[in-house]
Amino acid sequence: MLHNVKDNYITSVKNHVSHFEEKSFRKLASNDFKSWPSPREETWRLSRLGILSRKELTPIIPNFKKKFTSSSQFNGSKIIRFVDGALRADLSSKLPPGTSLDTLDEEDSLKCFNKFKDSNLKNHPSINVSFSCTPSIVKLTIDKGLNIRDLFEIIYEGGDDNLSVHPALYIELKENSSITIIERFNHLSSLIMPLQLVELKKNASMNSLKIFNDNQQSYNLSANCAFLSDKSNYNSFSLIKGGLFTRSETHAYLKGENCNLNLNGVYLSSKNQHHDLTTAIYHDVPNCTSKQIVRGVLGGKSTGVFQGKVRVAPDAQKTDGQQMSRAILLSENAIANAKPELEIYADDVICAHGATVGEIDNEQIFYLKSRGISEKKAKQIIITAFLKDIINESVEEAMQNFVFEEAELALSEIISKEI
Amino acid sequence: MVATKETIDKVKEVSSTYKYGFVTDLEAEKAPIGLNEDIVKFISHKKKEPKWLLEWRLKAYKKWLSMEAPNWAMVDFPKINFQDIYYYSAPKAKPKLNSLDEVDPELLRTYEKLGIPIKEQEVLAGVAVDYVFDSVSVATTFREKLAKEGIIFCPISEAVQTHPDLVKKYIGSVIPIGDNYYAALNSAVFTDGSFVYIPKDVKCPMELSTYFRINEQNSGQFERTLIIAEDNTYVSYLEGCTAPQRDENQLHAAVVELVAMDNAEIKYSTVQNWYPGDKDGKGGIYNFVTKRGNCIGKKSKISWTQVETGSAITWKYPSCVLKGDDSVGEFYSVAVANNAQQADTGTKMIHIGKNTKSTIISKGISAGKAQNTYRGQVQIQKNAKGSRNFTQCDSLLIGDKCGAHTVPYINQFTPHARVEHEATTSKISEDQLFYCLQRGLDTEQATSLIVNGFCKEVMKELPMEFAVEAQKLIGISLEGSVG
Repeated sequence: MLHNVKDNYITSVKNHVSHFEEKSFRKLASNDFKSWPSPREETWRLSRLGILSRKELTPIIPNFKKKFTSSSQFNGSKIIRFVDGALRADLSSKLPPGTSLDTLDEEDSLKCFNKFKDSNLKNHPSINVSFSCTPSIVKLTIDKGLNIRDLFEIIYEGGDDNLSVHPALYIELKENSSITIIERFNHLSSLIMPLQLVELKKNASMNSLKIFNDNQQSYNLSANCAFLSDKSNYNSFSLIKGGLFTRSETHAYLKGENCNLNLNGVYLSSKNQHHDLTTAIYHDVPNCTSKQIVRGVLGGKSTGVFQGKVRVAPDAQKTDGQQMSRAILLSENAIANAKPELEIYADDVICAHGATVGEIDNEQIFYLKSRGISEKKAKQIIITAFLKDIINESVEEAMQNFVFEEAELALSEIISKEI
Repeated sequence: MVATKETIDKVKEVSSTYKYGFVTDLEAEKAPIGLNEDIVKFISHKKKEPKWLLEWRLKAYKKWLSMEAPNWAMVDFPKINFQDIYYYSAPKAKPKLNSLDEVDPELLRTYEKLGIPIKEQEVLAGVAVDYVFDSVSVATTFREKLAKEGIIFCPISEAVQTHPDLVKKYIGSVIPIGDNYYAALNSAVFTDGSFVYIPKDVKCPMELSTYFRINEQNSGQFERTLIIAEDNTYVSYLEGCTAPQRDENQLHAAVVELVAMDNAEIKYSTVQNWYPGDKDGKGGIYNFVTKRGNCIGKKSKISWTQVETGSAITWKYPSCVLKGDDSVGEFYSVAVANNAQQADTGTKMIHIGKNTKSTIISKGISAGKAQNTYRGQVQIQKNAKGSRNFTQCDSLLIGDKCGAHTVPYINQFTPHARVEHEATTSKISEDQLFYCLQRGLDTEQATSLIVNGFCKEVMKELPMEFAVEAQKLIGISLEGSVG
């Protein structure tokens, strides 16, 4: 049994806590980290972490002199940089008025910790480890009624072999505010455990774009929790292409009526990559809508996992929950797993999910070939369209090209080997 | 079907809500209460079983002791005390029955109440029936006619005596003794069940049928069914289940194994109507069943059709292992859960051979405070090139206190296959209801009509005899759920 092996990392996480002065929440968190999740735990059955218990890992001590390596991709964007998991104000842009970036004190950190612990993410290893080891919990606040026109670009980088990094970000949008945030994960670390808490107050609206593009040897176990109040709107899109093992787990709680959630994602996997998109949407109140589209393209010996749960609470009448996942396998040795799940306790709802797994439709290839296009080109066109479709639907227009170019880089890697 | 109609009316006099809730007053021979090695030996001895089978049972018993009850299903019930159950209960009848006339008349009356008068069925429907009453098989009709074709249809305890080679070869071959907790328990203490063997190139000329009934208090029923279809054969098998109304929960842990060789087709239909417990969830049957079919041969086909209306708790996943190239697996299910019933049911389709195909149609209906879960797995293994799966699970909710859940798993290990899954959840639409009411139906009739329409895709897969009964059953099960 893997999990009975004495795990050095657990000890080093506990030791790491002693580096800090404010300890209350760190002690609680490190006490809860007793082992890596076992494959017998339902949510980790398809994404196994056993190998982490055999790795020599220690939490990173951030180097505040380190220079950054990833440059901004957008003209005029407001940049927030995390290096080695720590916020680097010196490398970040000056933020517009009405927005603030603070590190939480001990009391607020504990509150933030408890918010995660009250959610169904509470047993996620990143919650326990990152709350123990994060340099600080950073909070981005957008003031009431403020519509931020500038694009916020958050870049995470740094880390090194055998080290784990722990960025933690808490985003709060006050009433009637709105923002677009793009986050790029470009770590070099062995293990990355980013935390994110999003709180949308009444009528707030957030577009979130995440691009996971860590080093080819990395494990990224990102844990995200979002709480939506009345009439708020959360539009999230994740592109997973990097790392050896990337799992993005998002739990969204629809707590106010008439809110709207889009939780879309794409994974592009090649070689021996393992990509996992796990989501849970909790419709706790009536009259909310949620929509989810997930697509994956798999080559090499890669594995793709999509687990999506929609839970409709007993009184959440008039819920509209839609979910669709599709995966295309391009290689003999790739594996696709899907587990869309509906848990419904209210009767006046419209909920549906669909999932398909397969190779490229032969009829579509035939159609293009009959028009003089080579098979190779035909396959490229079909896959490109497969991705463009979802990107155009999920990402706001100004950023579609950027996202598509990011996707195309990974796609060409897969296609060059398989087609 | 006149006879069936009459008996249904008759039965309605006997019991209002659960029409099979009567108890037959028969003297029964029981093993001491509880479970230990001696009980396993006692059962084996009672059945005059050969040594290998006793050893097989003991091995299963030891395995069971080392296992834990599964807890992943979305069902909630107090822990079962396995020492509080009678594992063997047989009606004390004459030692050997030569014809139906010698069957205890009390027993025959029971079957009449069940709506399956043996004599009637013999003449009218031409169905060969095996009756399993608590733990032992009572009578099998039409044996001779079947024997002429070379078909063996008898209680499994008898097959152990008369065809030990076949039983030894196939028992546990589809569901090994340690497959799961309840299968291990069944392997240790199974008391009877049906055995069917269809020899090469024979199409079974009639529907084979079994009725299971739990009669004794505190007794569990552990039957085991084994169906083997050799090359180029066809058989359709029907299974019905009932139990009397009791305050305690009773356990039913059955195992059904199907084996289909080249070009063989097995159609297995179930109408499960065990006592569901009363309105508050008191009493009822715990139905923990392992059913699996092995499509070994090329172009073989196994089709499961089930209508699940009874049981306090259902934990049941009839599955197909599609080993043979071009083999086909099908699963059609209607699961109705009302009041405090909990159903966690679905299927597994394991595609191993090339060009294997599977279809899953599942219709779940929840009413009252019931929880109804579809749980299914479709796995396409590496060599299953050209395989295809289509899954559709729809749930219907009646009332705002019930729940409907869908938990499908898709695992695909080859690009050359296609898996599609669709699921929807909704309630009966106001429009449909209004349309029916406008034409003079009351709410209850309208609901029943709409629900039956919702289930039609599955119902049409049932053999005639069952379809009529099943449709009525669904109506009865949903009584009191509207208005």
